Amino acid sequence: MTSVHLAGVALIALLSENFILVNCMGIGTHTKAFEDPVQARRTGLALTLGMVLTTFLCWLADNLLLIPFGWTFLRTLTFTLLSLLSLFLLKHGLRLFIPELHRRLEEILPGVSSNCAVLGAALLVSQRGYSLGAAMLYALCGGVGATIVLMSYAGLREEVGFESCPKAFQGAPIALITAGLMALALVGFYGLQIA
Amino acid sequence: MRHKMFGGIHPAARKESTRRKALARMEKEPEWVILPLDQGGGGTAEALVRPGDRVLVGQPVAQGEGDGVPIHASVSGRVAAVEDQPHPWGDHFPAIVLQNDGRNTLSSKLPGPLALDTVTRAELIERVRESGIVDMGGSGLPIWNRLEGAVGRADTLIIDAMECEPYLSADHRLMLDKGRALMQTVRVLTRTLGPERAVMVIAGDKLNAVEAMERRLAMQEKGRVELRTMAARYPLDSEKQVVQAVTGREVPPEGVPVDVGCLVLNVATVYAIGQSLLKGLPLVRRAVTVSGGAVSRPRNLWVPIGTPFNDLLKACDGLKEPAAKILMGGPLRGVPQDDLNAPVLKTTDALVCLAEWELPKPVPETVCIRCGKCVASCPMHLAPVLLYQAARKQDWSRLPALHPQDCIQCGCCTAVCPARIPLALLVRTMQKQLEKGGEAS
Amino acid sequence: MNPVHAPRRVDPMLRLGGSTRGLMADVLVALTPNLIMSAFLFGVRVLLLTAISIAACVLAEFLYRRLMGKEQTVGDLSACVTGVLLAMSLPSTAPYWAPVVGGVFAIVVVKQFYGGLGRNFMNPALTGRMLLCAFPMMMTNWAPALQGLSIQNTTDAVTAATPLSYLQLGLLPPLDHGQMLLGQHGGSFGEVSIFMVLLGGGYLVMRRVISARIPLSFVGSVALLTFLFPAAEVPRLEWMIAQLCSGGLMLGAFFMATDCATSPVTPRGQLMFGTGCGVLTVLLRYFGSYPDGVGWAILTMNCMVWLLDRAGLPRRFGVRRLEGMRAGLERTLGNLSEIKLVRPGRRRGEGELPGESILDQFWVWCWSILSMAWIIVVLVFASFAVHRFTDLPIAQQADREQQALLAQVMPQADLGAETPYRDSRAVSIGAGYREMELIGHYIEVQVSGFGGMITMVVGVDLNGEVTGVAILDHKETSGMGTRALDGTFLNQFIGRSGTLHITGHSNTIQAVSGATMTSRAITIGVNRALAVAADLETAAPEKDDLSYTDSEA
Repeated sequence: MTSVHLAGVALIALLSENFILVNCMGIGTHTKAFEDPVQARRTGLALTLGMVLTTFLCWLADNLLLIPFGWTFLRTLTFTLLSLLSLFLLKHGLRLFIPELHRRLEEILPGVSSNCAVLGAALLVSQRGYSLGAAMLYALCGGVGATIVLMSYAGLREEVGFESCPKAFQGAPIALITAGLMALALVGFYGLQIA
Repeated sequence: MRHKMFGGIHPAARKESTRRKALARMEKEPEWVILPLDQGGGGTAEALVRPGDRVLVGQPVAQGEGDGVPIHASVSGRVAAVEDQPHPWGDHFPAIVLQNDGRNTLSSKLPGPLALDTVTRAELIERVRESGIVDMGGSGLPIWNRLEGAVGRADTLIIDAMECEPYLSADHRLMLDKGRALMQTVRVLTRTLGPERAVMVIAGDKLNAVEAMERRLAMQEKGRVELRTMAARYPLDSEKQVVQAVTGREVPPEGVPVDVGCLVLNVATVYAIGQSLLKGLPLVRRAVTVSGGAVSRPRNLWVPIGTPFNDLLKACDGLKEPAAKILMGGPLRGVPQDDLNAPVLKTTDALVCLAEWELPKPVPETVCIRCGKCVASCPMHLAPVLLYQAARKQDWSRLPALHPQDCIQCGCCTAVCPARIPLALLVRTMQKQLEKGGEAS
Repeated sequence: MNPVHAPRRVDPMLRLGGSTRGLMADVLVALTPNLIMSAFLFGVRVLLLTAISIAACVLAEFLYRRLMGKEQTVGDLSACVTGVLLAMSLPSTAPYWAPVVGGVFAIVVVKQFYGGLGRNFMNPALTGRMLLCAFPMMMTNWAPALQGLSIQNTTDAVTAATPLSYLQLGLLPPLDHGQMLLGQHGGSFGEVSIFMVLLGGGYLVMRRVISARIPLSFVGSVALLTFLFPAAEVPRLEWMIAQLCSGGLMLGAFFMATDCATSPVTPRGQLMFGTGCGVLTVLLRYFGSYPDGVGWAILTMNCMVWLLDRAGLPRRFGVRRLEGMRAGLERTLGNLSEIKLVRPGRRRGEGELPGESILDQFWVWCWSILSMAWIIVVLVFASFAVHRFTDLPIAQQADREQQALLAQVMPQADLGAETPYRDSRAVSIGAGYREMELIGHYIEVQVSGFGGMITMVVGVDLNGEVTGVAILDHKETSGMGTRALDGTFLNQFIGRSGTLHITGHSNTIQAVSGATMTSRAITIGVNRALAVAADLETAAPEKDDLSYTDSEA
């Protein structure tokens, strides 16, 4: 895979198909991630780790098992199970080997396991037939893009505060409007293609 | 190499009414002289006299505590009382009240003059201590231990003659009228304290003073003093800023200039040191500028320390219109005065009476628009706008990262804010909040 | 004990002039020469648009504050500024309702919902403009300069190509420097007159309304990147100057990006903001679908201002840069150092054999997996059953689609088959047969269109002529780009050969107006297919690949 192609994949994952703002995946994490920048950073980190690990396992399963044997009808089921497995490995691996990190991510990891970005990354990668390098890069940059969005949103929330809108808009509506405005900013990146 | 201060503002100097008037004594010396036991340094001296005692000029009337220095009588006469008197800092404070007998008799116990070429370091420091000399440019702390601490540690002696605040011209006139004594003192300091380099910084709006100092330098054979002219930018007269501008070194947080090898002395302080060496006179008089749109005849006065502000104004023919604000000091750093019976301290450099038309128009405070001018003008690299946000949200967890304790209270941020937010006061409040340990919230 | 004796402090008795209203008034003054020049270039309609925009914004703010019972802030002139900037970013042929919709959205949603002046997080004028991009037909109808549009009638305005449309194709616009600076070309009426914009921007910097950091870093990074990476065979300096003078770069750098509320407050943060905007602008102009990336770049950086503020806090006075960085690094490392690898140790319980607890745990896991395993087994069987039952119909459907595709792409053929030929430029290559004789190939290619990838199939006969084009997948905007995907456009390609162009003199294809990018993409795809077909004569099948991997059994 040429570096130009890889650069294109990275940019797509970061900007024009940003997981949270464009693909609308990855939102199902716990609500603290949208309010506190530190939590947002940690959630993003956990999400990235989950995505990378899951994409790796799923790519291996897809290309070594499902496609050669023609079992692609089992793709969804396998990927779901593999994502659960990878999160399980992640959680217990962290607990055993890096307990401090596990302690910090403890509340976040269960949210990540049910997060559609994790499964979504794996499925998108196999739909487009990326090579292993491109797949890992896609997952990594997708996670980084999601982290940046989460941190921006949480930082914004802290600075601006959502109390000044009309009562009918307070709570979920203004939060969604804000996310929508941020997504509006990314509309310009649709169709970004290197070469 | 040219170093620069970051930020700062360029207010109009407003010194035209006094800069050409030489230092003059008051035509009629004050009838009463009030000497508060806190002469601007924050400590409290202990009175040595009792009501009824007779005192002469230069006689010590109070003994400083600890490292503190004595306070001397600035007029001859009788001690009328030792009681609470109005203090320029806005409250009442114990003070020694002297009744002036008008004869200005010098005390006979004054030490004799020291030969400038042969005075030793120890003698110099002892003499400075005995003469009650404090930092007359602002902090009011004793000078003798600053000189002592600088020995061996300071490689640069900086004479601060910047005087960037509007209306003030006392230091300027000091250089023009008493330049010879100043230069002699600077030579002595350089010789005894041993810095490699002595720099006198003068603001660019005082070019005639620069010329005068240059002439004096040329007249001396051993002129090792460098004269630097810098564009007058407030607050370049503040200690940390002048160190940065001259040497490029930054004083560490909660540090003093001597930590980076610089000894900073105000021009008035240097002159006082000179007087104590040349004539044996302790610190009893100083130059004060009386200025402002409300004063009838603004001038620079050479007054005894302890002169009530009322007498200063009388010497300037009073106020020609009601003063909207009277400040001890300049418009940016001055302390507002309500009671004009308060006296001149050792650290008083000006009395500014602002008329109504000189004050900024009272505009209501509006919302912060995040223009960032406060950050761009803060010489101490603070971000007042972020402190404002933290205060608005009562979020004290961000305070340590914003380090409000570095603030020198120069007031640049308030001066530039388009929304008229009282930022300097706010930073001070945040400082107190941080000290209170207000992180638990 | 007495507290420390300290002086009573008040605020400084000095103000260096400037109030919020004064700042906004200065911005309006700076925009006036630009407005006058645009009126000269594009006619009086421009002034009317601006007036309507200002009225809409001011009214929106007034009404909103009134209805919400908050104090009126119309007097600080910020709504006027939003109105003028919004109007200036519209093309001069925009309908009169456009600034009204954009203005109301900008003021009410983007600004007032978050608390009014100083509390919005995205530039209101720019967001309003970008919302109006949802009506792309209207937004890209550029009238050329000096054509005197009448106030009512805009339908007879001739659409002109803006310099940006040339730049997007990698060509230099046919304008000299004077024309570019003064604005005698198409574009939004506020951004064409570079000279006036610079004049206004210089005024603002001199009056200290804005700091020069953001505009300089923005324009500087664009200049640097476009100088270093010009389009192929274009002189560097000319390219850089053309890029700097076209589109909304100057207007955006001096007036939009510097909006106080949405830019960082710290000096270093401002530099990072400007540079980021510049990099994203160049990225979008080179590789993005929209011709001008300035607005999108500024909006994206606006969302990240909060992070930049934190990152750009000035170095603490007295702490040397290295020391400060080292201290910061130590703090972070100290934070992270608690995260270290630990040998997973297990304390042995009382009276336990070594490894017993691990075995217990293991059996617990196994049991829980086994208890769920039956669900998985059921699901596997279910998917297999569904797959088996639907396999044949799916394959038959695929076959029917294949036939339909063949009919569209190569009507003369009656049978199509995949070939083992591979080419890096094509997704797949198939062969069309008529009565068992090879008459041509149909080649599937992927090109990047406006909204994403377009997958298309091109039939090429043995003489190198196109027999048909079919679109399999696309992400184009319906009503806009899709007009280039229907039969009338695609039929143009039938019978053509060689290399086709959209512009130029020879071998041209008529692009669909308003869908230039899509038309161009289709043409590129056809060219690519023709090239692949031409190379087929010399291509040999890969040695080991004579059996295909079929993903459906």
